Amino acid sequence: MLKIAITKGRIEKQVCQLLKANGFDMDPIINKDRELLIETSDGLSMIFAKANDVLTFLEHGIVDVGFVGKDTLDDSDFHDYYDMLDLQIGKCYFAVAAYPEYKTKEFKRRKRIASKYTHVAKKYFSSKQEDVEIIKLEGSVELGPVVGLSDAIVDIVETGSTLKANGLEVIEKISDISTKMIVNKVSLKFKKDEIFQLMDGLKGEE
Amino acid sequence: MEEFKYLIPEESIDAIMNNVASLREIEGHLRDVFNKHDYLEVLMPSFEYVDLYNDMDIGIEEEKMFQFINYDGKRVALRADFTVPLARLYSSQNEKGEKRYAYFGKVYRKEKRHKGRSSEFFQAGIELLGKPGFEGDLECLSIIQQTLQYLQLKEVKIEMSSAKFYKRLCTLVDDSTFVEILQKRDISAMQSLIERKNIQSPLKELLIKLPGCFGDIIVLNQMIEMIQDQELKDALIELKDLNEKLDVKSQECFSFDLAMTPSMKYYTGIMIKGYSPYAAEPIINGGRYDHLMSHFHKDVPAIGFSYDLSHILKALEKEEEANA
Repeated sequence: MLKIAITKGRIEKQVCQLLKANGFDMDPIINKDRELLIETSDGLSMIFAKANDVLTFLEHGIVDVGFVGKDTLDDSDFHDYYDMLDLQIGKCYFAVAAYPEYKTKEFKRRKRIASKYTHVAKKYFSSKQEDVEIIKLEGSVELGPVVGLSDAIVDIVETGSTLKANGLEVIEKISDISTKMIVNKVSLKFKKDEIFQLMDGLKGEE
Repeated sequence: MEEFKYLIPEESIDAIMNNVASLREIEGHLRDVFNKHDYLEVLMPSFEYVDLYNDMDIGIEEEKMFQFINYDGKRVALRADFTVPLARLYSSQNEKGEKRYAYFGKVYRKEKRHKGRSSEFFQAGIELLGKPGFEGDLECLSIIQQTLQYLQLKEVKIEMSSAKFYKRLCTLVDDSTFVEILQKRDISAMQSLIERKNIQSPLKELLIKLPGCFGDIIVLNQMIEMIQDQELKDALIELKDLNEKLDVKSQECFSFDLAMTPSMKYYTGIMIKGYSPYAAEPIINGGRYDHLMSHFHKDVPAIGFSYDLSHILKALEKEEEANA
């Protein structure tokens, strides 16, 4: 029995579609109500959780495999897992966004950057050798510049329409994001065949 | 301040109560085996200079050590590993030739907060200094084999690899991202790396296979067959020869993981890692480190390994629950 944790919401839908397209039985998942733990006829036991919790379950060995966005991995300070496969779905990117004048404006103080992804923001600006003040916001990060809390934001950009609607634009792209399949290090040793089978299925190489 | 009476700091390990008996029992058996092979048990100090660890460049980051400033204004750390202090001991005692040390005790390394991991680990282990090559490797592997039954775990997997193989791979690929890709066994990123660096066959095929390159002797044989680069091939043939010199009982204990990356930077030859399906981290760690002593201006080959008894105890508990 392979135990899997999937990030609830968009990733859950996309991964299930991908698995279904590759011949896995996904009916129990598609028809599920509010259950959080489901077993399929292929011997997969699936739980659905918030992105960061997928990582927590994986590192404790509660699940063998996790499906989670690269954004979550990048912003986590835990790295003791195998990050084996890029599913090439849920693609978007991290970017610095601000009002257009940000580019030309001369700052006489540390810039203030709002972000939900403080690790990513910190890492990016330190790689630019820029000392900035980072302010954590939990959602609607675009509000930062709009209400004058921050000079710019670091956030996920998918289509850019929210930015545009608020007069903001992408200043610089930081890195690509997509959905990843991650594997518990010990599980890989003891469930090699099952895990590689799942991986081949996801790659469409059965 | 009242509430402090009832709490322990986040870093602390829970008091081991129920399984102290199992801990002592396992410890006792290990001690017997170590004694039988003439390993001298040493009781190491709890404090070491931070600079000792830093100068040795072993890969334990400074921020992971518990540090304070002593009366001299020097930075002191709680013991973060046994190998480095034992290497210092060997050097400061002006030892020459073969020396066998065994140790039991805790090491302290800071772990991430709220991750359910403690920052103190009870370890047992041995270091064999001054015995080069096969003979030393064989002695250690055979000791691991003899102790396995005493760990009381039903299911254990012990894998070997070669730091020479790993280092040669790094040289051949010659890319700053390679180590992380290998550590993460990132098949997708490996593909992109191959395309970006325009890596040609047969290295290309080798890299694609590498993340899944673990298992029994067949995996090793296949790789030897496939590899063209002489240095890579030699490293694996060495591993195969070593395996053939083991007795049958030991051969059954060990398998191979050619994608293993060194857990300590100082490894130069064979690397060993042991796993239980009920422990989230390796329960055995070790390897050959022939150049560490050069930090003390000595040319002494060495090999050592340790058991993580904290993880073994946890695994034992979980295994019992699972089989109950």
